[in-house]
Amino acid sequence: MKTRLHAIILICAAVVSFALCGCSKPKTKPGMIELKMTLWDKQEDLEFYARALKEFYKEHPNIRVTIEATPWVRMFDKLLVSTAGGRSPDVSRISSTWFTPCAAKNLVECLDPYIENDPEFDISDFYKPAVQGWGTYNGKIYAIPGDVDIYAMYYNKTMFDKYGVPYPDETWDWEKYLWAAKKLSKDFDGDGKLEQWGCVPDQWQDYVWQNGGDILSKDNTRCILDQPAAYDAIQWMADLRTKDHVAPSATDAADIGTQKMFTNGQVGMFVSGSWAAAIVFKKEITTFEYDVAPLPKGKQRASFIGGAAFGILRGSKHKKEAWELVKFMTSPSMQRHFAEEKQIIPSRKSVAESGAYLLMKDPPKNKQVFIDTINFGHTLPKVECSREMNEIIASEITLAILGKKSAKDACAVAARRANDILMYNAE
Amino acid sequence: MGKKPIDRFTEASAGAGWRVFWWAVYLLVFVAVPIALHAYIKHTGSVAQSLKFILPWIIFCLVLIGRMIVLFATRNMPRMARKEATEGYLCILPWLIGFCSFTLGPMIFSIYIAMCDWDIINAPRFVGLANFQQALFHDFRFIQALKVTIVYAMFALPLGLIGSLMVALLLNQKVRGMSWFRTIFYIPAILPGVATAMVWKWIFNPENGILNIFLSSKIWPWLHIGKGLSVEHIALVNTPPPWLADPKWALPAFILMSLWGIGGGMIIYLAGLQGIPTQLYEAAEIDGANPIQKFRKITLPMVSPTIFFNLVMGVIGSFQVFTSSFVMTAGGPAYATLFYLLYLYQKAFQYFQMGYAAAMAWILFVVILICTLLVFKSSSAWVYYEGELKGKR
Repeated sequence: MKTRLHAIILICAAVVSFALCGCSKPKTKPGMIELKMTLWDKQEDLEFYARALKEFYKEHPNIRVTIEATPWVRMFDKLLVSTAGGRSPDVSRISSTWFTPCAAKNLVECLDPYIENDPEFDISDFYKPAVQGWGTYNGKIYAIPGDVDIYAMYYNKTMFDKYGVPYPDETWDWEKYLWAAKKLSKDFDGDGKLEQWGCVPDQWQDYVWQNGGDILSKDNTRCILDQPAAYDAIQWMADLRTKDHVAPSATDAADIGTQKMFTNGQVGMFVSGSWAAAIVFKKEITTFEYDVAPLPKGKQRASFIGGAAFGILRGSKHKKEAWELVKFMTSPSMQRHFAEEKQIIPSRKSVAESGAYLLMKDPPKNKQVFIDTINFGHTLPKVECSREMNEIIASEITLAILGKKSAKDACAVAARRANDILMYNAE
Repeated sequence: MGKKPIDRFTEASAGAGWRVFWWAVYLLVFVAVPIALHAYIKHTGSVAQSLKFILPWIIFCLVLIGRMIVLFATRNMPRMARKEATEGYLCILPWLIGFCSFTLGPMIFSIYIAMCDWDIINAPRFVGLANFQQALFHDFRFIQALKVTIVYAMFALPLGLIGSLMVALLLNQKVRGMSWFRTIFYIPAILPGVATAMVWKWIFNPENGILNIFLSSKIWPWLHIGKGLSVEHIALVNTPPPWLADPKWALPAFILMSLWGIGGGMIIYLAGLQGIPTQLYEAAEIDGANPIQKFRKITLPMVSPTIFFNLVMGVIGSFQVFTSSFVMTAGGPAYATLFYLLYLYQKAFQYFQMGYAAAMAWILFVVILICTLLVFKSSSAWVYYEGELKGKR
């Protein structure tokens, strides 16, 4: 029996030692530093980056960059999970929608020491609203903005000419906008249903800001959508659909979507982002001429601004080289490439105003509008729980926009729910 | 014949000398070695390096603790019984290790996390009962999720129970090809959840789904339904509801869909029905009972243990509906189908609030526990066990 006991002990020891053998360290390659960058472009755009990175390799021959394309909706989750799992990328493109949770969770490195120690990098060349909007958190810089998306009003020039309505410009306010939309809304066959609409409003936050209201209070602790400035604006916007009938309702747009209605020539004015021209309109608008104008001002001028930034992830093992890559992706030459090939508005003043973007021959002609509106840009609330909070606010505001509830009631409910979430928001 | 070595060993280990030996081993492993390890970690400055000493120490500790537990559990047993019991524990050791690592350990960790605020990349931050407070009093989605799940359970459970029993009664007859019918009814219960959900999503499509096409088809005016009740009075047929797109109809759609899976309960009822002795029915026939009386007085009581089983399993299962709502509506139009587990999943894996999700999981545990206990307590009133097992819980 003693031998049996000994046999059991020996077997256990053997099993344990085999198990421990399984843990081994990965081998490191000498010399070359491999950086991993994650973006959300499509597969076919990756070859554009491969070309652009050749310049980077000329300056930094000891660095190699592999690019991973992840869909935009999965990007934030992927960054979190890969950092928790120990395999995080080194550099990533960060969207303004979830930049604040990123910085609040310490997912990205603070870039202040890198900027201070780098004499050739000039942070003041970047548009201030961009740096403030999705580069700064708690006064420190966590990411460098790469591009700016700003919302403005695309309009159908041919339709305006046909009905003798003057083109929109920066003097337009809400009354003029409504007047023009009414002139453009037509019922051609007299069946009581409109076939042509004056406008598609979109983005309720713009109207709240233009009316002097805001989503969160200045210190980001309370939701102030239940103030008259906010719900009056939303009510006005909802009335465009339900009362004034100058905008297509949800059922009208259900078939093909409002963007298709604009590109088909059924809508006079369409609010969209600066990215829409290159990605959508260039291919789809064939039957009319279009241009872009600033959003009409309410009590003040305001527009939704967002974009992407580049940042170094906390889990990166080569932060210095990652900084070089971030600098390259936001360098003037890279931004000029982006502007020329994709009509993406650069975040550097020197590039945006130099003409690389402005002098492009593709419509819309009036690109200066976008540049001018940057100074009136407002971003979404910058709190850590912004993703959840935006969702629950949007679900109520949608009811108001669809006319199922008055804006005052919807805003009261939305503000109450948002305050509940903010109450437990981590400091 | 001399004593076997193991017997001599066991006798000798009962002696005082062995007791001193074991006390010395325990002292060494639980006190002296940790102190030495701590000093070593301080000296080398890294935990990772000293891992090669910590790991064997932990294994040794566990072995010793296991020995103490086994000795305590078998303290009043005679020698042979103790030997057999020890071997039994050794046999289940692999399962025990797996259970502690993958079930018990995570459960204890989850209780701790439920009182923390944890996104997976930063360390958990202890917040006490704040998660529970926020869930119960300051989160309209939690209350909505509870409501949706409870309403679903309230309707789907009885319908499922009654439905499966009816189908089982139907399929309990000696008709040729009965096994084919039983198979057809059982297959939906074993199909993968995602596939079923996608098929039903298509069925419920407001314009092109076969349900609405059937409801609005031309056959209804042909059937004169009832006296004076014309087709116009049935709103369902006039304007078929938009099912998953309408907050009022989304949850009823899920309840309807749950009836597809009654095959699972049916199989268990069939087994129960076939356990009813036929002489009971024959005796009832002789006494002149009609079918309804036979059902109420013989079938129902004899099958009540099976009903009890299906009810308990149904309570546990209907509170944990997830796949269908995740695939079909992702929370539904205006949170109308925000099932409890779906909301838990969203909180854990979309918003990365693991602490809140863990708190929700434990609240669900308590709710299901209370419901199940209620069912058990009431069981003595309506569950009939044959013979001496009457009244056993």
